[in-house]
Amino acid sequence: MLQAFTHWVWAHIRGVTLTFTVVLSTALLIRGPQASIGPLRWGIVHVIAAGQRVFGLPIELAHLRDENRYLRSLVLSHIIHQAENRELRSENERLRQLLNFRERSRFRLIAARVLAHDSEVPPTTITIDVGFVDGVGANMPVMTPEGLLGRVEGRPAGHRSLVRLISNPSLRVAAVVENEDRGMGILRCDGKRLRVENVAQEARVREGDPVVTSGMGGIFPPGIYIGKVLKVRNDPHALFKEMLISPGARLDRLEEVFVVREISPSAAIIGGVPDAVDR
Amino acid sequence: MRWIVEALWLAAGAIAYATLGQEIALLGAVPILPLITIVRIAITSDELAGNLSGFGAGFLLDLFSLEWFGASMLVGSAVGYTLGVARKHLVIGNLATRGIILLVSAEVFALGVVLIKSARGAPGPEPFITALGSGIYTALVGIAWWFCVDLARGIFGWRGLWDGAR
Repeated sequence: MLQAFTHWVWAHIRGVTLTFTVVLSTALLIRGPQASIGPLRWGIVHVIAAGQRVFGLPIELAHLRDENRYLRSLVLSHIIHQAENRELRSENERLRQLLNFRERSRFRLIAARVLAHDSEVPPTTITIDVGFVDGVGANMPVMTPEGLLGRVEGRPAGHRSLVRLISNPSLRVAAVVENEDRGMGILRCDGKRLRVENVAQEARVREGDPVVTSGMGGIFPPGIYIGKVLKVRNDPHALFKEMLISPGARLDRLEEVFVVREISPSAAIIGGVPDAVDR
Repeated sequence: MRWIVEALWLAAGAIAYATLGQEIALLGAVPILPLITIVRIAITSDELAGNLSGFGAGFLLDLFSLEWFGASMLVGSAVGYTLGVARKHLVIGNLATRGIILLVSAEVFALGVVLIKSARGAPGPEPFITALGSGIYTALVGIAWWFCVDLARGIFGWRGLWDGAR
């Protein structure tokens, strides 16, 4: 019986293989989003990530000169800001003591390296080298010093986590425009551009206004910088207005990111990366 | 030995696609690099090799995708198998013919993946236009690549890329 079956399979190996591959692919598709896929996937991703680094080397070298120039200017501006900040901090402390305010909350961050990204332009998913062993949990926000990136998707592996970026059309973030009217809306990506929708028509929004997380969704703490308003679409007959957003974080060039572990009373950084992000 | 080399080509194509895609993208269109190898394998071998190479390359591409795990595998398998079956009727005479076959395959692959991804809601025409662009871009990169390899083969006396094809 078994011999006859084996013989039949070999005789129809092409059709059997096609059926197997189609059924397997379809089953995986139907199974839907699986963030915590087994160690096999993480193992292969790790090997491929090493390959990606090799392929990415020439590009990295090409960017080095620009990056060097950018970093030099950044260091210079940081030195200037540091001097200003020192002055402001002491003034702030004095005022806090006067007003008996609690020290403002800051984020506790976990530094992570980007291992791999998907092939979308811009990427919608990245894999980072920290997982539950490092303290990463499901839905934790992920950011760079330039702004919000997304959130950890599903349960992470030991030292790997999958991050759904704000460029992923299925991610929604409650956002607020930081100006006097504080118009609230929902940030989402349409596949190409970031937009904030459902902003009240009465709220005044100007191009260049900063957009931050509002904290309404419960996942992202309030005040994380997202980007600035690029364009306002103002249809007077519509109930709401919408805005195009220029993201603060460079989604196409991600190397190091931070997972926001918790809000702590004092700024603490795990991984020894300078300066907490506190926008 | 041949299949180890082909598997390495497929893996290299998939990694290069995932790494260089954003850097060499033109108006959102990205050349689907592993498809260049899938087409050659299917045409020079048979539908079984085409099917398995399409499935394997699709698996590597899907590894980095969060929501559509299986989409590239499904379309890759179908494209590889179809090309393998059609090879008996295809005459790979010159670079232009290979380019047309690659163009059609790339368009089917790119549009197929977008079609699956649009299953959860109408995405508008933009992804389809980008997919069309990706198909054309893939064909151009593939033709250039095959031309260079053929040239190198002539110089260094390597094994023919198209041995086994009609």
